Amino acid sequence: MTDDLEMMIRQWLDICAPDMDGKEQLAQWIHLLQGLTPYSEQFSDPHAALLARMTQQSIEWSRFAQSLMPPASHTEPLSQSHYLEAFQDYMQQQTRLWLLQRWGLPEQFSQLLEQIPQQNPLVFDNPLLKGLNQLLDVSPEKLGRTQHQQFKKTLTLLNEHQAALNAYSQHYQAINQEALSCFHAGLEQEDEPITELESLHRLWTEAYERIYQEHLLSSDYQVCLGRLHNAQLQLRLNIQEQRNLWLSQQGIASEAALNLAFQQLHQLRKQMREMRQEMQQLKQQVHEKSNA
Amino acid sequence: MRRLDLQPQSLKKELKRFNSRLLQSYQTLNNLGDLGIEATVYSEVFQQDKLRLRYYAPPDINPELSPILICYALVNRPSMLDLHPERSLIAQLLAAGFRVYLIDWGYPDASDRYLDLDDYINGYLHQCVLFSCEHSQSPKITLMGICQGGTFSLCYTALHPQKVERLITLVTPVDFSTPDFTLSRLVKHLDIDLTVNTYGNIPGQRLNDLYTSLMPMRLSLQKQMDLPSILSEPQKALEFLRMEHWLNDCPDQAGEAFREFAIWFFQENRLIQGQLTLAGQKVDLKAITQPLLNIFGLQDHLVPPSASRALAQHTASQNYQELALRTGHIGLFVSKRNGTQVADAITHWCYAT
Repeated sequence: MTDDLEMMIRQWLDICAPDMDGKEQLAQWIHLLQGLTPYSEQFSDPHAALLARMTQQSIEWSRFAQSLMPPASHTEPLSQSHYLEAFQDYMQQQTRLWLLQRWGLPEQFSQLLEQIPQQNPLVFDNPLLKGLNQLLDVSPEKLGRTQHQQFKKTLTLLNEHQAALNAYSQHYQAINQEALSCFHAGLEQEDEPITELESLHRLWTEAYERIYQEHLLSSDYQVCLGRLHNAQLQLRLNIQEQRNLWLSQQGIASEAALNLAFQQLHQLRKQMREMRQEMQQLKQQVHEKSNA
Repeated sequence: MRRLDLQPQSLKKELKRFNSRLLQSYQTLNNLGDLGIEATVYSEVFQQDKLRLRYYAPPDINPELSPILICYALVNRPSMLDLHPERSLIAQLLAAGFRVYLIDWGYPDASDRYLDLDDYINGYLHQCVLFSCEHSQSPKITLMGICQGGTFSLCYTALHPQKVERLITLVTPVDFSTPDFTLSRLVKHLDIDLTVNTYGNIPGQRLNDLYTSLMPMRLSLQKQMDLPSILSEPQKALEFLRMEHWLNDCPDQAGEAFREFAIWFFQENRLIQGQLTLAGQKVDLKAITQPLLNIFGLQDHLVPPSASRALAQHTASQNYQELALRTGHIGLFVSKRNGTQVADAITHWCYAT
């Protein structure tokens, strides 16, 4: 064990001291974990990535668990329904984040959105998109006909992505709702009362997966998923095509030009292979005749 | 709320335990040595472009057993077959006296985006079959295909039956339209042409995301929750990290081959309909007359048993056998419970046919 680790564990034990206030414990724990980022450089890449994921998870989980603790001034015990509601909110937030991380706009757009103050990329009903749509009313002459067309195409694709994401998120809301019912039913069927968040999490996962599988097999869900996948790729392709056009206008080799070269290279490789196989067959025939 | 009894003090304890395990995980990872993946010794005996053909020599060659050529899928890497010496299908086959050849397809880059199924099956796979025969001085080999590699092996044997003595398929999709083939149904409405035109080669990570989306809570949130518990124990940590290594070692897919496989097999199910052609030649599964052993997992969520079992009706093999194991797609190769079942079944079957 390195000195750094020993020191970290000592700090952790100090944080765990029973006389320390809960909020202060959490703040110190998060501070300690965040300080680990440079320290994780001593691990190999996959291990470091794993540790980063685990650390982030721990911060979120600690923050959530701490939020369930009653404040020191609170003398009455919290009701179990309070815990359950808080847990459900947390899980629904997690599933929503997972959905948006996976199906958000291509990075070129999401980076753009990050530059705009108060623009929340997690909001489905996107105010930026509404604003951009109003720009379509601008006369094509003011923008230049080609640019106006490009702008119009991009906006059409953005609108389609938004609509597809909305349709898909409705499925997710339905999955969440049904999973919740399934989770409650599962909770009632437990032989022993659940006393730990970990067990509650596991029960939620089982309920969620059961409902999710049912939706996966419905054709409605499959159509929605396909629509969102296709909408996301249309946007990405559009960006790439515009970049290629710009590069070729500057006289710089674009991805399209490179692909053409690779295509020709592939044809040559195929011809080589066919010739090699013909050679092998001829050799085989010669060999057979000489043995005859 | 009779079945819930959370208390602040027990929550505090739970949080403390969770974070203590996290620290323990740091310590475990810091002290872990080499993962010991692909420890079985081999030599590269043939190469073409990015393909490498590996040869694993057994301690004692059993002359009654023809050499095995393993054709793995293009998705992920064949390290699955040799993740650890104690659970290595390759090591088990060597112990039985097989000479083992394994195709390592390599990592396609942008210059490979136009490689198609004809290149993989009539080109690379054919060359590996010919070379294995020549190298082992055997007139024929036993071809063993895994997952997508099994589908390739079926196509190959139908087109070039001369050098294949026996055929073994493991967790291989044959009928892509069975009702419980979730992956196939998810792919139905994806615009594959658009996908390939956009990405060129399909990023391996994108495929991993698709697999994760089959069980998103279990494979993402729940898995992360379990990490501190798993990684705080060195032995569990080693097993987990080996599997993670394999999961994350996902080569990009050559664009054209991906396009053809996704459309012709997943979306159009051409293989069992007799509508598949490669380089102008019809792929007729009825041309397969070799003894055939079809192994699959009853709990496989990627390739359901129904998709593999369909093979029974589509070849002309007079000696078709199935082995259904109570395990999943990956468990078939690495599960402790299965032990040496797969290698033993292959060995006995080879003796018997």
